[in-house]
Amino acid sequence: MNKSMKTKRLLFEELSAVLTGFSLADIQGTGLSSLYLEVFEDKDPDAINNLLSAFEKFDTESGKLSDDDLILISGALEDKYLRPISQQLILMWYTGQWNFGEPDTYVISKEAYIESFSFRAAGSHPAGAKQPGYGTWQFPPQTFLEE
Amino acid sequence: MAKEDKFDVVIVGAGITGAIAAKELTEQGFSVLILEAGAGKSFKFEDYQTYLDNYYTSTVRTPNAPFPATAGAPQPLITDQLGIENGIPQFAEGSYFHQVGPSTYQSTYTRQMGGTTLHWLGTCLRMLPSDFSEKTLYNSGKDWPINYYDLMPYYRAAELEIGVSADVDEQAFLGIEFEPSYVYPMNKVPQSYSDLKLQEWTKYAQFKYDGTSYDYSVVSVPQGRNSTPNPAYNNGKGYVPVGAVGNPDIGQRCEGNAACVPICSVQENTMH
Ligand SMILES: Cc1cc2nc3c(=O)[nH]c(=O)nc-3n(C[C@H](O)[C@H](O)[C@H](O)COP(=O)(O)OP(=O)(O)OC[C@H]3O[C@@H](n4cnc5c(N)ncnc54)[C@H](O)[C@@H]3O)c2cc1C
Repeated sequence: MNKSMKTKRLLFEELSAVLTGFSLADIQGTGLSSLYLEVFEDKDPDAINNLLSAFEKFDTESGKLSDDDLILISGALEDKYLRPISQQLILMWYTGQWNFGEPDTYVISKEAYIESFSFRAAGSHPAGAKQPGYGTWQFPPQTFLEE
Repeated sequence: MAKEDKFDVVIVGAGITGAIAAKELTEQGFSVLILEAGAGKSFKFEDYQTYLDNYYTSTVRTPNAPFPATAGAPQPLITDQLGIENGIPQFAEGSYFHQVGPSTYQSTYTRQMGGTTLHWLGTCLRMLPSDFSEKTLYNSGKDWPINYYDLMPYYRAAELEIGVSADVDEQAFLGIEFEPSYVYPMNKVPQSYSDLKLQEWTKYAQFKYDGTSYDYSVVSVPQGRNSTPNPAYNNGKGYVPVGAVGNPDIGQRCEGNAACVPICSVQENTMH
């Protein structure tokens, strides 16, 4: 796909995949990227646009970034303007909350809580949703084997 | 509500106590009016879902998070409690409780139709026979004017009403007895992986107390949540659990939502 044709949403999803460590399919599978992008555009349009344009130049077509690109991205995240917004983005995907940990934090939507990645990262499920089924508490904990 | 303006009995509060009293009385032909100060959003499946949405969208998922207080029925919050300082429990400014004295209530309750069982844990232990004569046996606390055997028929009735899951053999410890043919309405909830590991690891372990060595026993707790019905219940007649309000096809089994307190997503540990 021609880069200029890439939608803002897809770019946001690719950036989210890189920053969270979850795959593009995981990100898209939440059904939340439009909503999250809207929240950023509403709260701080300049910051999210700057972050997206800093990210735009990297080639993410293959789903994997080259080592050189990863170094460049880590460098970019040290930037004092890009850093807070990228942290906000990571926390949003992992907790479903805006401004997690701050007094004005709130849960973005019920789906945001249900789909938040912290539970998946812990090999668990959000309490009250995505129930694992009767008797599953007797199974040994999930283990994650190295690929 | 019927168009009567006279009732044999008026019950204040639609918690489990009021509900069971009303059930017993109406079964005996009395007319009953229940007055509840809190919101009545537990009658319909869709309304119950709004409670669940409140839980999902709370940043702090406390026992009352799904059940917002109404102006007419304020309720305590766990966040009102600020710990204990110099032996005195502290409460937040403007909190619901105004308590004095050496032993204050340190939990919450729910003021809604359905009462506190909306967010209870479902633990349904019987007391030990020795609990009723602590003073005589251990020279501590007080003796009760009734004993375990007086309570046995009431335990049976409550276990039916709640649909308790447990295994009689496993619960017959430290003097607890059951009628010879008695079984709980539902089989015991399968023990968790960590329970089973603990059982395995403590199999040959002992602990010492006051010079005497004791074995460990890791047993499950009788639960007001749905496992599988015990076909032997009620002399082989079996037991049929009640599903969710307005949708009896769900809530027949615990589904492992791990949110019993404050809200069971499938309503199987909620009394209705
Ligand atoms: C977090 C938590 C976990 C618990 N877990 C367990 C457990 O595992 N096992 C166990 O056995 N117990 C447990 N309990 C305790 C148990 O849930 C309660 O003891 C029980 O539900 C109380 O039932 P009730 O009907 O007496 O009162 P409630 O359920 O509190 O109902 C009282 C009702 O009366 C209404 N009311 C009060 N005053 C008025 C008025 N003046 N006019 C109109 N309405 C009024 C209230 O709004 C309320 O709805 C738990 C409690 C809590 C808080």
